[in-house]
Amino acid sequence: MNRATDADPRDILPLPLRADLPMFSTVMHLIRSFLLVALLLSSAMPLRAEDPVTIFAAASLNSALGELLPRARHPDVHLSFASSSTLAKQIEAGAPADIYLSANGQWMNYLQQRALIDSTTRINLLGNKLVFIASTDRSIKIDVQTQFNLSDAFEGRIALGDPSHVPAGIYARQALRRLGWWNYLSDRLAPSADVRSALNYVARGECDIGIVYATDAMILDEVQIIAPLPDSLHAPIRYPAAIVAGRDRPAVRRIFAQIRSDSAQTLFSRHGFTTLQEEAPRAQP
Amino acid sequence: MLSPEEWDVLSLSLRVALGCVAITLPPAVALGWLLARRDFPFKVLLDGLCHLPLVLPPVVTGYLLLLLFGRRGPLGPTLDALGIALAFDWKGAVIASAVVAFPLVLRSVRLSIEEIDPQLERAARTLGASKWRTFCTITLPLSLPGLLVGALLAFARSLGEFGATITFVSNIAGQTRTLPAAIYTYLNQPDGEAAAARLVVVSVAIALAALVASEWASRRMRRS
Amino acid sequence: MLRIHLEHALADFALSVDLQCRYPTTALYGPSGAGKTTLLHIIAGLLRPDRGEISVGDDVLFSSQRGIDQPPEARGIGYVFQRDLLFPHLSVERNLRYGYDLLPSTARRFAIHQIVELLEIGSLLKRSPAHLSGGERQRVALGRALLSSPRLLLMDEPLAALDQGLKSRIIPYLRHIRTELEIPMLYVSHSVAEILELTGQVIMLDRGQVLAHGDFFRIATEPGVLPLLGEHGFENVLQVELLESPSGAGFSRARCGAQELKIPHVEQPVGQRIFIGLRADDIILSRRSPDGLSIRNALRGPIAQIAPVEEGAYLVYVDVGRRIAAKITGEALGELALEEGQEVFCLIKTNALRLGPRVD
Repeated sequence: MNRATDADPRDILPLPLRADLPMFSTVMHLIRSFLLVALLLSSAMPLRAEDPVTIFAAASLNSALGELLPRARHPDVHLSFASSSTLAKQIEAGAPADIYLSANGQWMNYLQQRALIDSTTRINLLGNKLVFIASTDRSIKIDVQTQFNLSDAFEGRIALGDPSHVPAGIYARQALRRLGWWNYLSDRLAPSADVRSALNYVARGECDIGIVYATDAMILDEVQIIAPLPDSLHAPIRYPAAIVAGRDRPAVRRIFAQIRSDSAQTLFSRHGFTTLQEEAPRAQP
Repeated sequence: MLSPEEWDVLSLSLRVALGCVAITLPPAVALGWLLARRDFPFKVLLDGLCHLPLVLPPVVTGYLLLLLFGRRGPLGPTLDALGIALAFDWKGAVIASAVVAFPLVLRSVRLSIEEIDPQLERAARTLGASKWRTFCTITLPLSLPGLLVGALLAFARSLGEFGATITFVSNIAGQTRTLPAAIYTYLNQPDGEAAAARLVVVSVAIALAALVASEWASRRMRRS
Repeated sequence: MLRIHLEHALADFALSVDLQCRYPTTALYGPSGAGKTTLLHIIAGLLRPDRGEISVGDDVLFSSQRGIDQPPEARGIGYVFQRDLLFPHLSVERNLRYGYDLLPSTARRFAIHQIVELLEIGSLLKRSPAHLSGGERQRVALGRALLSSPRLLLMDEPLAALDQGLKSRIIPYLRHIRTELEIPMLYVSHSVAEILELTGQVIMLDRGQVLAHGDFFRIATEPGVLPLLGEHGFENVLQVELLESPSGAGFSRARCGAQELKIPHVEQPVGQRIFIGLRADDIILSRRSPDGLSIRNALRGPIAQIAPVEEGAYLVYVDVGRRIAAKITGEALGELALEEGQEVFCLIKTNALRLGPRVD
């Protein structure tokens, strides 16, 4: 029961598809390449020829990494933030990333399965906590226990990352399932493509409550944390980091070591992350 | 060929697109006429305001809609009183599309009204037609081609509208998961390209069909 | 009876009009830019004058003082524009009916077939305006305006866009309208010949001012008016009665008052009266009867008035039964020692006489 079932077929849109025909997979490959190119072009990417180090990192690491490796002191480091899924697909399409920092294991697995990362370098860098948030001018009490009837505690919808692909949303769904609340909440969701939208919905009063990472809740003053969700409710939130396959070189190793350093860990925890430093098992569930 | 969920997405998108056409045309006609036929102070300002959605990033537009129509916004209480909730509702998706598409419709309508000789309208007045009758019997029929183009633009723009929609009304299956949102969702899943591709084909097919239909309609108008 | 008293500032000058028109048909004549179209627009209610009052009969259409401004659709004033302005999306028949259908049946002065027959546009009814010739379109425009039962018809150079042949074919229709339908008309034109076909009453407008108003004959030779007519060769306008048109002679004989004139050959019945135009520049004055000259015409009479005009030129008005004006230099004036009261001969070449329309 501890296993994270990220890719629950019931929750993602069903994909009726027959992928076993050869001609089919050629066509699929073409379509895939086309769509990946579209994705590639759709997000800003630095393309340089010298030896800068390019880090692809999940959007939630924006402010922390920006403070750890500021432009002024590290002009050779290029930071590119987007959703973990987008970044993984860009790397798959050949984007010149040197280091990949994902917001969950799923997308790191995705690349690992395709031998696109150097799996010897993979570690779990950070953790995070899920919290319930509400607008600062509301007082809603939530008791994070199965017997508590959450559906009566708020009206309307609950703001959270899209459980079909946003990591925070995936974990939130696991937690809600664990609590036995998912059945009556699954049609009261307001799924967002990104954290900022979920925070906005709560801040603007469109949603009474939301579930986001503790680190996200710190972004806006208008939202407050009303209840943390215990780690036991969901698969461990892990921010794995790895060097992209074929990109290993001294400069990259240096930056990677800096990200793992103790001073970096202090910085990260100041931003609300939980710090780990453990080797990741070969294949994450 | 399409799964039930995909049909849902398609029918929602069509509904939203048609709704977008329906609510952009009347104000576009009114404002188009005003900008084409009248001079008044701050006319340039009004014109610029109407074109704002063209230059703002769609996500910003969506956020502004949230500020305006959201429960804490200035229109919130009124909408609440009327029992209208826009935030996670397909009606909100219509509003998002409409705001984004409005400048396109306005330009088309205004241009086609400007091309009508104002002397024709004056002639109608001397024959005994009131301003309103002149507008309905002379101006409107003669500007129909421009209205048709405007409607087509609104339709097509709505089908492709993503940024403002997803920011304003989120991505709720059955309510606000339009074609672009569904494609986006599929693309964010590890093996979702095939389904995304299918929906892309559907979008293109609809847009082409709308284009052909409007071409045919405007040819018929020209002939009669 | 149309009463107009208004002032309106235009780009270069101010339109200032104060007149009353009671004749069935009045022409409004003036050079381009004189303000004729502006005046018509104001009368029709399409333009608001700065100040003034306009009334038709007892009905006040506009009064800046009393705050009255009736919209165009309420004034009952028809307008035929220079371009036909037929509604392109409606058939000829629907164009004709546009104003007609808006009237209560008691207010309709004419039946549709009546106007259609008058203007001979029956065969065009089902067509679209795009498929009509220029003359046909203008006739339809005329019919459309008439069918709105106006109490006054404004016509802004309606024939200007047509060639000469067409013009002469449409003018009879206009005459019919005047005589058979008895609608008062205000007819703008910068063609004197056209005006004379329809009416003798003219308002002369130049740079927004009314220079003269009344019978064309009487006002045509007034000093202020003369320059306006000069370019058309109608500075002097005479009515003559045809006496004889000998074939092959190249001229016709006509009677002008008590004297005789040889005018360019014209095919008209004996006794027909026509207008003749003559430029002041084309009259040569002589103190003696001509002898040994090719000029065939010598009208004699006393000098009624000598008036200086621009740049050392003078207009010498001679009474030959009616006043005509001859333009000569100051030098010639001095040399011939001309004075008022003196008898002179006006020498006129036959071909300097321009044939005008028939007088009826």
